[in-house]
Amino acid sequence: MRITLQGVRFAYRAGEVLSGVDLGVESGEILALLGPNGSGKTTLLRHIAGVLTPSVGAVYLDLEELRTLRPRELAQRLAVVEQDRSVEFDFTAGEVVELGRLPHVGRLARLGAVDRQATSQAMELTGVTEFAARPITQLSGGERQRVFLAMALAQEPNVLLLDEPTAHLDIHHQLEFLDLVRRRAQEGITVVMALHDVNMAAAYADRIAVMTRGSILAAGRPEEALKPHILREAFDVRCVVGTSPATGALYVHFLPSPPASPPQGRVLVIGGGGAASPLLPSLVRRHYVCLGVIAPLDSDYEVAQQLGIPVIVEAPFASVSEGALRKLRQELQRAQQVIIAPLWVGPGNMAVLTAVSEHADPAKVLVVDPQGIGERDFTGGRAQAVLQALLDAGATPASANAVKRTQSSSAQHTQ
Amino acid sequence: MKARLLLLILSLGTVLTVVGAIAVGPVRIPMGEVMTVLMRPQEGDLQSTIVHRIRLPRVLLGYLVGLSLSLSGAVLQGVFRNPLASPYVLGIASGASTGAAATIALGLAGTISLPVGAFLGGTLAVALVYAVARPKGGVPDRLGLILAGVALGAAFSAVTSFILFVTAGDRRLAEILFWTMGGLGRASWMSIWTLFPVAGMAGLGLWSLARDLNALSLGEEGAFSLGIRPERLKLLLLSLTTVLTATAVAFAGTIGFVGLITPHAVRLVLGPDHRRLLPASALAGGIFLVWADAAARTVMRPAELPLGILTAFVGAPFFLYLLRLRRAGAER
Repeated sequence: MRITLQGVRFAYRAGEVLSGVDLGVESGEILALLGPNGSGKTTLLRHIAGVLTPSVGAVYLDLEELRTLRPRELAQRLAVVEQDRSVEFDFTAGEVVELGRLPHVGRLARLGAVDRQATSQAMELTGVTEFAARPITQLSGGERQRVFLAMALAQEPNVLLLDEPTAHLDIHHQLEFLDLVRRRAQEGITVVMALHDVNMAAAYADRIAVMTRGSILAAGRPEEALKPHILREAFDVRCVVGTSPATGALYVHFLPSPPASPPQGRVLVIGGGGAASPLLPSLVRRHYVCLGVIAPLDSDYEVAQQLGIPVIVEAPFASVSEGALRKLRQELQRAQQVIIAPLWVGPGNMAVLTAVSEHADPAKVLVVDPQGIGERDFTGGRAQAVLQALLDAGATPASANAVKRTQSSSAQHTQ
Repeated sequence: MKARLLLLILSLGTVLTVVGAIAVGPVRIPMGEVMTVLMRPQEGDLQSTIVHRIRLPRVLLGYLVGLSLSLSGAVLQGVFRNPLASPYVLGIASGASTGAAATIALGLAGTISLPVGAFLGGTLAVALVYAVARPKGGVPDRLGLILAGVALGAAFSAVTSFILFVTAGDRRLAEILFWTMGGLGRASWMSIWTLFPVAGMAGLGLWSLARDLNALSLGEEGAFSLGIRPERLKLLLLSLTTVLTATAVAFAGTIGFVGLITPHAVRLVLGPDHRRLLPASALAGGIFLVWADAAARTVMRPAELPLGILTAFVGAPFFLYLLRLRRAGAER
C-alpha cells in the first residue's frame, strides 16, 4: 500500500511541528525517518497513523484520503508498534496478540478460525508462541516488543508504522527485530519507522528521510540521504560515511566534536598510499590541514575526502604534473608546518619530495619515521638522500605516535 | 476453562445465596421451607409473608446492588487502567450523599423522592467532574478526571457536612447519617423493579464492550490503532457505569469496598480479560453483598449493623491482604 503525504503542516499551540512535508512511500518499501529529538518524526508517524490530522495538506493511503477512513477501517490497513507501550494489567502475551484481531471481528462475534489462524501465525513469525501464556508484565523488553509486533501483524496490515521500536533493546534484539520487519516488508508490507540509530537505518531501510525542524531535509536511498553535510545540518555532528567492505552496506562513523578553540596553524601533509591516513584525524581536529600530492584512487584520498581535507590532486599512475607542483609550492610557502608521512617513494612521486626540499624551510619540516625510508625507497637511494639532507638542514625526525600526540603544541609554536 | 468453571460456580452460588440468605434472620426459616414458600406463596402464612415481603426483596436488592457496584468497579478499573479505582472515583458517592441529605433536610424524603434525590446528586457530581476535567474543545484524560473527582468529591462532602451541621439536634441528622452508611433496609419491590432493568441493560451493554475495554489497556493510542475511538468508548463506559452506580446508590446508600475489592479479587483469579472479568465480578459482587447483609442482620441481633460498616470491616483487611500479595508477586 502506497503512502503519500502532500504538504502536511501541523501545529500544536506551542508552535509548528510539521512545516510542509511531502513524502511518498511505495508498497513493500522500508522508509526510515531520522532526525534529532523534536524534529517531528513522531508527529509525522502519528499523522500517518491517523492519530493526528494535518492542519493543512493531506495523507493518502493509495488513493484514499486518511481522514475519510473510520478508525476501524484504518486499523484493518495499518498497524503501529511504539517505542514502549505499557500494559496496565497482567494480560498474557497471547491475549495481547489476539487484540490485533479486534479490527476484523464484530463486537459481539467470537474469534473465528481465521482469527485464530492469523494470531498463531503472527506469534510463530515473531517467536512469541513459546511464551504466549506468560503475563506481558513479566517479559523482557525484547520479548515485549516482539509481542507488540505480533499484535500488529495479527492485524494483517498493509502498512506497519514503527516509532523507535528498538530504542530499549540490546543490539542482538535490535537486529532480530529489524530482520523480522524486513522479512515482512519483502512480503509487501509498507514500513515507515522512526529510528535513532543512523547505522540501523542505513542497514535496514530502502530509503531514508532525514528530518529537521519539522521538514524533510533530504530523502532518498541511504547513500543519497546519509551524506556528511546533511547529517551535520540535521544533527550538528561530524561524521564520515563509508561502505562496509564486509557487507557492502553504508556505515556512518561519527567523529568527536572539535575542541572549543578554532583550528590553528596550517599544516601540509605529504602523503600517499595510505601513509598519511593514521595521522589525519588527530591533525584535522586542531589545524587547517592540506594533503598533497595524491591520486583519487589512493586510500589517503578517501580518508581526506571523509574528513573534508583539501587535497592537491594528481591523476593516478602518472608522474606529478607541473600544475600540481605549482599548487604544492604555494602550499609549502603558506604552511606553518610540513609533515612528511612515512610514504613509499618511487619515480612517480619523487618530484614531490624534491619540491619539499627545495621550497620548504627545513626548520618547519617534520619527517615521520625517517629510519624506515630504506625499505620505502624505490628510487635507488635518491629519496633517502633528499630526506637525509632535510634532516641535516634542521628538519625534525618524529615517530607517528608523537605526531598524533604532540602536533597541537608544535604547530602552535611555529605561529 | 478456569473461567467457565468459575462462572458456573458463581451462577450456582447465586441460587444458593438467594435461598440461603433468605433463611437467615431474626426468625430462622429452614432452607426447605424457604424453597416451598418461594415456589408456592401462601396468603396469610407468617413465613410466607416474611419471605415475600421482607427477605426476598432485601436479598434481591442486595444482590443487584452488589452486582452493579462490582461491575461498575471492574469497568472503571479498566477505564482508568488502575486496579485501585472504585465506582466512586468520579464523585458519585459524595454527590449522592449530598442529594440524599438535601432531600431529607428539606423534609421531602419519601420512598420515591429520596432515591431520586440521591440519583440526581450522584449523576450531577459526575457530570460536573467531567465538565471540569474537560479541556476546552477536548476530552478529559484519566488524571484530570481523577483529580476533578477528588476535588469535587471534597466539595460535595463539605456541602453534606454543612447540611449535617444545620440539622444538628434534629431527627433528620440521624436519618442522613444512617443513609450515608448504606444499607438495604429500604428494600422494596419498587426498588428491585427499577434497578433490575437498569442493571440488566447496563450490564449487557458493558459486557458487549469488554473487548474494547481490553484494547483500552494499551492506552488511548494503542486502542485507536486497533480501530477504536477511545474517547467515545470512555464516554460510553462512564455514562453506563454512572447510571448503574447512581441507581444502586439511590436505593442502598453508599456502600463501600464491594466495587473496589470484588473485581480486584476476581482479576487475581481469572486474569484481566474483561470478557470473563466483567460477568464474574458482577456475580461475585452480588453474592458478596448478600452475605455481607446477612451478616449485618445477624451479628448484633436484634440490632442491625449498617451494611457499609460491615463491607468495610471485611473488605479493608482483605484488600490489604491483596496488596501484600501483589507486592510479593512483584518482587518475585
